[in-house]
Amino acid sequence: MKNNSNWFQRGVLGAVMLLLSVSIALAQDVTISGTVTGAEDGLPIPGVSVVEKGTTNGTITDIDGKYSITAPTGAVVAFSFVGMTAQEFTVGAQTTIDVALQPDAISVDEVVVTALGIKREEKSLGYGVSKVDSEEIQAAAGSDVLSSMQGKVAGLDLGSAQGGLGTSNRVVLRGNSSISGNNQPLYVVDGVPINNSTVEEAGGVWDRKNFGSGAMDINPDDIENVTVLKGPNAAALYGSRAQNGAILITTKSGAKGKGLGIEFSSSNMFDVVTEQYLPKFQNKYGQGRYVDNQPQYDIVNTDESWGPAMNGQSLPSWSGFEENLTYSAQPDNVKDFFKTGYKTTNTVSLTKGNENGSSRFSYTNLWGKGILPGNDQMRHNLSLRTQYELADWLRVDAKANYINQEVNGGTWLGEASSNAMYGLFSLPRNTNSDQLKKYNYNNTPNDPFIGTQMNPYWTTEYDEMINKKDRFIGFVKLDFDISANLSGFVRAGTDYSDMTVEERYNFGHKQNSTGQWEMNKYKQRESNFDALLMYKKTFGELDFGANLGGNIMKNYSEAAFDRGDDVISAGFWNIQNYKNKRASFNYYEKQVNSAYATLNFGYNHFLYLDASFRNDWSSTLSSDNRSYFYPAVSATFLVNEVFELNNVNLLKVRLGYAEVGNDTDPYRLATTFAINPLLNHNGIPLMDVNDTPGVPDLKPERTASMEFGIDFRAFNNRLTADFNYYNQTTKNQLLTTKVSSATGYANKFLNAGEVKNNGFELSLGGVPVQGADFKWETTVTLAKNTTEVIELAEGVETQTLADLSNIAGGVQIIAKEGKNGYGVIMGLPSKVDGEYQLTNTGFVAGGTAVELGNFNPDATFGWLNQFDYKRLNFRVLIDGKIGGDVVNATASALSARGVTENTLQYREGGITVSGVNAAGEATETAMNAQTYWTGMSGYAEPWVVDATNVRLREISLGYNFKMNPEGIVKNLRLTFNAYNLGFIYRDDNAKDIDPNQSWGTSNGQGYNLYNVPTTTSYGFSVNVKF
Amino acid sequence: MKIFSKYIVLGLFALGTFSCTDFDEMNTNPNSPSAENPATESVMASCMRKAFHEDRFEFWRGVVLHAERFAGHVEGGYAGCWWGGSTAYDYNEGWTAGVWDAYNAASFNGYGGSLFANLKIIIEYYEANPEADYANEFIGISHTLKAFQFIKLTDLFGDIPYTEHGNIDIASPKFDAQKQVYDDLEAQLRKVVEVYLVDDVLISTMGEFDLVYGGNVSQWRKFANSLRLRMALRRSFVDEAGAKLILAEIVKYPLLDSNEDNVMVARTTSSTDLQNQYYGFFKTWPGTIPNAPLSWDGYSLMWGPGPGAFIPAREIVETMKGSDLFAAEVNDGGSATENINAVAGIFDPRIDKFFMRPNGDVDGTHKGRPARADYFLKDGNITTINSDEEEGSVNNYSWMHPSIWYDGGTWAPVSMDYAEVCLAMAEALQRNLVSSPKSDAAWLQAGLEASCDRWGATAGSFPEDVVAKYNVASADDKFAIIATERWVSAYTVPHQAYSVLRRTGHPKYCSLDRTAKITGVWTNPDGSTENRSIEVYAAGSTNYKLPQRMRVPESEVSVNANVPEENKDMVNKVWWAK
Repeated sequence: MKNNSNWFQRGVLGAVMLLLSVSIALAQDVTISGTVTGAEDGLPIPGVSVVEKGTTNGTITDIDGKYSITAPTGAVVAFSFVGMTAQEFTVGAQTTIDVALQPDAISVDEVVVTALGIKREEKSLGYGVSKVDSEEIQAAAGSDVLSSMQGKVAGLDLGSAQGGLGTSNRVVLRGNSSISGNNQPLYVVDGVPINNSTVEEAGGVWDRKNFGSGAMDINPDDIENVTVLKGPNAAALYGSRAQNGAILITTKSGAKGKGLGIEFSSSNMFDVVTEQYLPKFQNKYGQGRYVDNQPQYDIVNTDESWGPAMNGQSLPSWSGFEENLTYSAQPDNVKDFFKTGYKTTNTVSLTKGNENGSSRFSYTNLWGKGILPGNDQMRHNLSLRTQYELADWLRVDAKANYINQEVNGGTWLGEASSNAMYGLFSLPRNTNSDQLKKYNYNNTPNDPFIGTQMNPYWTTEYDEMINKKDRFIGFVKLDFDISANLSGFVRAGTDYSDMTVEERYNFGHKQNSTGQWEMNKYKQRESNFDALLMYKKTFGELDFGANLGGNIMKNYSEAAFDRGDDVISAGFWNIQNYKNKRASFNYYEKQVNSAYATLNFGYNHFLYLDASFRNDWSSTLSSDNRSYFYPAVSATFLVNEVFELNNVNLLKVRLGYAEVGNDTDPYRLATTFAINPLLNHNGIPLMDVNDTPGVPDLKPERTASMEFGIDFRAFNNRLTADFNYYNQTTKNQLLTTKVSSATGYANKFLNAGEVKNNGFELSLGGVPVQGADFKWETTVTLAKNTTEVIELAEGVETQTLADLSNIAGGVQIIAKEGKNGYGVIMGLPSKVDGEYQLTNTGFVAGGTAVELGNFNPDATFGWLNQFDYKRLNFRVLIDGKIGGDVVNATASALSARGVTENTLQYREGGITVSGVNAAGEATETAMNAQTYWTGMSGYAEPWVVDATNVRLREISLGYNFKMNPEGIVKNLRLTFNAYNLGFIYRDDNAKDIDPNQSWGTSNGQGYNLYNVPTTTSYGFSVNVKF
Repeated sequence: MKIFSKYIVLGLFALGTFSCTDFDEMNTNPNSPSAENPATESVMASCMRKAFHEDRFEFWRGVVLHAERFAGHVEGGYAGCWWGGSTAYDYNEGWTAGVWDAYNAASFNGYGGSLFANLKIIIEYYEANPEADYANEFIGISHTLKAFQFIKLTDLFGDIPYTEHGNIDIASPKFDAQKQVYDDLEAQLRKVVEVYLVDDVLISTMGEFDLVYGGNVSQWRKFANSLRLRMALRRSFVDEAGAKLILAEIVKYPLLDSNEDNVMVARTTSSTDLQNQYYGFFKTWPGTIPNAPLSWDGYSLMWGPGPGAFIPAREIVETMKGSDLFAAEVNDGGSATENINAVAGIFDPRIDKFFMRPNGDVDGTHKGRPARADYFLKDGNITTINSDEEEGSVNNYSWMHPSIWYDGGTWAPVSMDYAEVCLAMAEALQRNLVSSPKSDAAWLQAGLEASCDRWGATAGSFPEDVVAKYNVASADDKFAIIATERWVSAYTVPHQAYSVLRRTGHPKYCSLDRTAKITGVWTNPDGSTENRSIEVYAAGSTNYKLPQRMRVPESEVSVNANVPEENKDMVNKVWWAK
């Protein structure tokens, strides 16, 4: 753990020390003076104690960090400050000594932000929290908040985004506990929950889109720190939505009593596509197919690469721009497609404080160009935070954050025709990019494809996905003191966003050849009103605290869909410009009222007991089930306070139990009809009952969690260890379960299902080396989780999380009863009872699906090292996942197309496969390469690969320039960053993919299909303070 | 002052905590009507589209790839086509599940709603509100639509959930024997004909929404009664006595009696309604035509069948041409001399309305692709059909008539026509199952005339020629002629064509096991050659036999332990075909 006390806290501490300081004993000899600053930011530190060692001679620095001390030559003067590493020097002739204090590695009395924004001493907490501070977030500069936490928080499992700029990551803490509901944590910014939902996460592999999730809009430069509350124990007070844990983000604010501070930071990252994430292509055989077992060049019947060897022959061209082509390998026709991406993020912030309060204003501009042509992102982020003391008993804290973002040209996913990767990877190996770059958009995309793929150059130019968002997040909070023991606050916060998602299919598109336009608009608003009364009193050795509060959460959302087909005048995007128009509009409303109370007891600073109680009333449940109550209790014992333990700074043992209830989405109780938004019949609207009928008596879902933990600090906090064991069960799950379609419906809502997650999280930290100039700090995090599906609904043996019937012969990602029963990959085996199933010409297609793997990792880990040498700072992060599987459906599909390296096998002479025929008799079948690989592609088993991987995630090298504190530039820091450098370990069969990439944020994960490759990023950032 | 301010703050606190909202009202879906107050007309319109105008997804998988290909009407397997000879003869889970789910409930992609769930709510609503306008009529029409869909399901899959169908509380409903399903549907439809739809009224509110009859209840009654006729003949071989009793009842009430009564939901005129049956999968992935435009029957074609489309099967083309067909062509050991085309020698004029001659050449000869075939012998070499320049080219075959699949096509997507009623009556009379003032031959002639008329074909002497051949034929041959004509007339009504084939075994050419072999030079993957004898046709999951049903998909088996073993194999005959 690193030091996290902010300047505000330091200022407060300093002021306190000033007041309490004893008078300075005078001595002879040399009078030394100077300024003490923080090495990190160069700002002066008030209240630093400056003492002549072995004496009572000392002073502390004033508000400007200045000090003056007189000591005899040869004496040792020590500078110390809470949370900073002490420094010493021997008095010589020098009379001015400026000291830059390094932050301390560990601090015991850290204050952390807990649920509802209540700050508490970390040592008193009965549950584990993980913190990531701004430095660590910015080290991964150029990425978003979520990616920057990867590898730094034990048990945070993050799937990397795919699909281009602005697409979402999937974050899971302590495993998946909800079968068909959301498994992502709640995001809370400055105490106010924000919306992290996604829109248009369509199912299937043809039309997947990914427009990013809400938490990505938070500007990393505005973040002071992030606290991760992993389980419901920590988050019980946020109620239902914190069932999967909570990620609390505290943004920066100005410091009281400080003058104008100006800060500028700029981060510039270059994204490069490297071979390590690309399929391995063969460069020997081009377009064609086997005819009567002999390879033949063919552009009419096939777009696969089963043709004869490429020797520069002149053959008829697929291109409309040439008669004949030179039939030769184009080894770079995939690689050349990608551009170097670039992302620059620039922030200016202004802070100002006086004795009554402070304000901080920041503006961030993010501009990025993706690796795909036409993919760019522009984001403006304006933030204003003001804290002001209105009276000595009343303070106001208000924030307004406006975000405006536009992302153009992200790509579709999977086998969508408009997914550029689908066309690109599928290209016959002789396809010349120069020919592809020619097309006549009014006519045809000009590509060699027979299937649904399209020319990647055409589709990135003429198909477009545009995603625009305006968002406002803000709150106003009034803190008041009623008496010395009683205080409280009222707060109103809102998160409002307005999002437009456009899909443009230009005239000439393969499947929408007459042009299609979809424009969907989403408005979402979540408002929270809460109030809390806090009572604190010490009775002798007993510290007592009680909180009583209430919360009203109102959710409102609108979705308006417009679609035009058959364009009248191409290239002009207006719904009136289409012959056929469709539209729909729906809105949704939900409210949850809550009341809660907490009780905290602390005995003699070594024993703490906490209890919290919450009752929710949700509008989404029937009147009988609407109200639900849930408690949480925890106990903490500080062993080191009771027993004398050598060199141990902290030994804490804690135990907690918590329950959380959860409601559901609105309008699930009644069976309703809806007009088919997709079609009408010659203008007659068609109305159908929803394919999931209502259930009038839905009950709230319930999660119960037990957590046990040990926190350990020793050797002057140079060794730290945190350990958590947890056991969490979610029952009464609101399942949307697939039922026999003979019920007339597709799905049914059920209150059934029970999922248990247990595991541990371990975080080990230390400062193995600490010298005057050099320091090495290291942290290892490790987490292991096991998910057990204890029960699905009665009579339901499996629950489908994703049905991918058209990849690798059919794959399903399911949940089924049993240990590791969540995220099971089901697919066709290549052999039955150890034998290939053969016909006299090839493999038998189909069969019965068997269990082939599970997408969840067994364990995740991260290893962060930081080396400080004087003003130089070097960080390196390695992280990884152990276990878990992924279906490499890209490799399966590309193998059937004969474009990948593996398909070089059996090209000459074929292969004789031994197996059994339909009658079960031993047989041998001679196959050509196309038959063999096409057959293999029809099974899932050969393509399920181990997702275990260890990678060099992050490297950064920073330098703090020495600046004159009186000069204009007070602090200058330059950092070089590299992100996603490469793998230390990856399965042999996964060397062409990033096994960590996720498919949006849904629960159906564990497959890869024409993914946009992960990039390796390099860049630098500059931070200047004036 | 300070104390006063504190009370203001505390007041705010109180205000913030308590607020009055009616949660029941908030949680009432403002966007859609509920089951307590259904929008009947629009829901009925959706059910009609679902029943008679299947969307691309289920039509492609349910009708064409399976029923229509099993019946020998259409075929893929040309060069560049996604479908090979064995496609769909091999069990395919995804397609099968697609059909099962779409027919039982909503289409997976949301284009077609759930007919059964819709109608259950409508029927329950009107049974609970008998005083509502046209309550009886809505119940009657609902039962008719339900029956139509149940027949589609049971004819394709055999035993199906029926008594426990459509109940969300029974997540894994039991399967009922097909006979029980038929019996109960007959009882339901009898009640529809005798009770619910007795009044000859026009439901004014249904004018636009009744996509079939514009609210004309008497036409619905004819349809319900004609459905009983279709069903009665289905059961006539396994339950002749039952069929006779039912038929005697049916003929008391009106049946479809002209092409005006044909059951159909007209094609949408939208060029972007790609859920539009054949149009959907021809238009979505159009093929190129080397010498466009091609002309046929008033259509000028700029694009042709693409990789997902189908062309006529040789089976129906040669039958209609009156060609000589021999068992030896398809069956190992079959006769090479006995002509098994029941209508050999008679040219069917509908052929030019069903199909376009190769390249639109009016002087050309119709050519269909042999159903289910993978190989042919070319100059002594075993050659894959779709890789041959001549036999593999889609341009060397007849195509389905452009009216069926081309932009602006005028084809009537009929689900049951007057011709079917006539030919069914002809069959019933020929087999002495019923009596009628009109003779079997007269019904046969009327049926052929009606069909020619419906397709816009000039009948000429065709109906008379068939009747002349019929009049001098043996009883078996008479049956074969009627069955063959029923099969031909059911072109683009695939469920019906496939059912006729399975039940009657005619045309014989289509129902024989496809075990014929050819012997020739085979090239091995290593380039060596050998003389080899190989099956011409794809074995499929039925080992060269005509599939007798679609399997109940694994996806259903996995959520429903009640699926009978018999439903798990495509070779098992359904009850009425035994």
